[in-house]
Amino acid sequence: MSRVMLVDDEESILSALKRLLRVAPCAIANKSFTLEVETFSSPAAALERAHHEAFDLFVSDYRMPEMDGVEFLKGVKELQPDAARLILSGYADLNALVRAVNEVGIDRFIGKPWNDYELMSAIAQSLAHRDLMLENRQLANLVRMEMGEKTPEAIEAERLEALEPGITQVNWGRTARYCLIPTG
Amino acid sequence: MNETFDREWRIEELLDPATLQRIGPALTALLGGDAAIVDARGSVLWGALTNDARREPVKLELEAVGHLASANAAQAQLAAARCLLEHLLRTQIRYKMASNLHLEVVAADFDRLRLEHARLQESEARYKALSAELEARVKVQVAQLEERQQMLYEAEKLASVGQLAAGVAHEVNNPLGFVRSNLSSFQVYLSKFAQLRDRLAEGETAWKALDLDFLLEDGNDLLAETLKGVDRIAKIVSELKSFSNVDRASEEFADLNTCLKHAASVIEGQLPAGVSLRFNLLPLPGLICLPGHINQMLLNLLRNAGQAIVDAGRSGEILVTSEADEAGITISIHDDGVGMTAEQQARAFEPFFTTRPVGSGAGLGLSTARNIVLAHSGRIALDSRPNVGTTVTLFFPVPK
Repeated sequence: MSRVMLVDDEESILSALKRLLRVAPCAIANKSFTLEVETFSSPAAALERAHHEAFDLFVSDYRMPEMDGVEFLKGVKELQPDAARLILSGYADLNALVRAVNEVGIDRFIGKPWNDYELMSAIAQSLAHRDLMLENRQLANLVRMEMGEKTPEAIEAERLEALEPGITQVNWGRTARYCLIPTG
Repeated sequence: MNETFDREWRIEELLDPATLQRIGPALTALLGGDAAIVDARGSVLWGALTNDARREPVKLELEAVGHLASANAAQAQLAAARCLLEHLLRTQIRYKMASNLHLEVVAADFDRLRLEHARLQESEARYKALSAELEARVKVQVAQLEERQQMLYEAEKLASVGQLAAGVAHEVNNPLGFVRSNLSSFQVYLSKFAQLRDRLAEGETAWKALDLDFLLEDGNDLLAETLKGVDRIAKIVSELKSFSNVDRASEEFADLNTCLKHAASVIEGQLPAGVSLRFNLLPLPGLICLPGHINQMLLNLLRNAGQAIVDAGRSGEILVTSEADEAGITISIHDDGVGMTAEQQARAFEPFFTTRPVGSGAGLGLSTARNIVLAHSGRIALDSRPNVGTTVTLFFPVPK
């Protein structure tokens, strides 16, 4: 099950995307993904959600009130650096595109109106790429452990960190007590 | 000047023929009927020189410049006459010196004046040349300036066309995106119903297995949303059309006061709490216009005014006034809302420029208004101060 978050200030777009992700197969080569979709029309609420829940893929509009897509994805990248990121926008502004690529390192920039097939294959590719990357890292860690470059503790800490970002860091409060909620 | 002023004088210079004519006879008489004046080289200036004549040197500045000669006169007589002559000559010298000095001064003055004159003429010529050059340069620069202005105007026109295109693209692409996606989803829904046809034998199990309850319900939502999207595209296109005056309606004879009241009646129901509308209308002459466009423009302006008051977060009033003189009709719409900064004012008439958050204003209100006013050969002016309010003034000329 892959978790996908969709963010667009327009509800109609969100429901159209929800339908698409429900009915269209999300597959690439011999891999297929089942998707669990959450939608948000407010980027701020979406970012708040990303504080508490891990997602595999974020799809965001570019032009939104409160904050634009690049800002939103930048926030997301800090929280969940391994998640795939995608921008779906009708605002074809070169500056926006450049910012998205340079500041956020997005996987794709897809224009509206989108082609359903292309969008689904972009999502599948991003998810497959992400899986590959994580697998690669895990294998590399195993090899490093065998070669004695890394301790099993460090690798476990890394795994936990990936599951629950921030868990391996202690947040000290002002009164020298640790606090559970990130103050960040 | 000094060489001529302080030089040695010769006797023939001092005694010109006119002087000789006057003193010659007098000397002759003094010396007893026989006298001659001789210069330093021995030539006779006056009288006749006889060989036996007694000579008396005439001295000036210790040097003999000539002789006075007489055969009859006694020595004493001759000496006295010489004395007189010397005195006369000295007087003459003084006179000559003074007159020469004067002449020299005048000549020097004249020279200086001539030089000055030449210099002035030269500088005048230079100034003339400079001013001609300057004029030519100004002409070239004015031409350049005009050309630049034209280029700037073209560039601005192109930029606003580009902005228009980008704005339209964005506004249209959003609904187009979900409409298209919905339709292809609907295709999938239909194919599921098609599958039902093959599984009719299974009855309700097939219906449940294909999740057709959801498809029916969502299909309805899907179509409703799609319709809304298509309507939105249609609305954008129609706004653009009136923006560009493509489908020009027929012109009518209309009273702008009626138009104002009409627009007000449309908007009155939508006015937020705390915003009141006041009229101060004077009788107006009829105007040949496109009432549809005028109404839309007034509606836009009133809506803007109301929104400006809401944005200011206080209660306020929209004051609409109209008046006419022989030149034309003036309508002003004043609100005491948020107002605009100078920068916003400068861009206010740009198509798709809006201060509203994304999605709540298309930024076509004022640019459309201006195009409509221009189409009626009128003028639109904007006067706004932040936190004080905005006045939009419209002027329509009345043809004589």
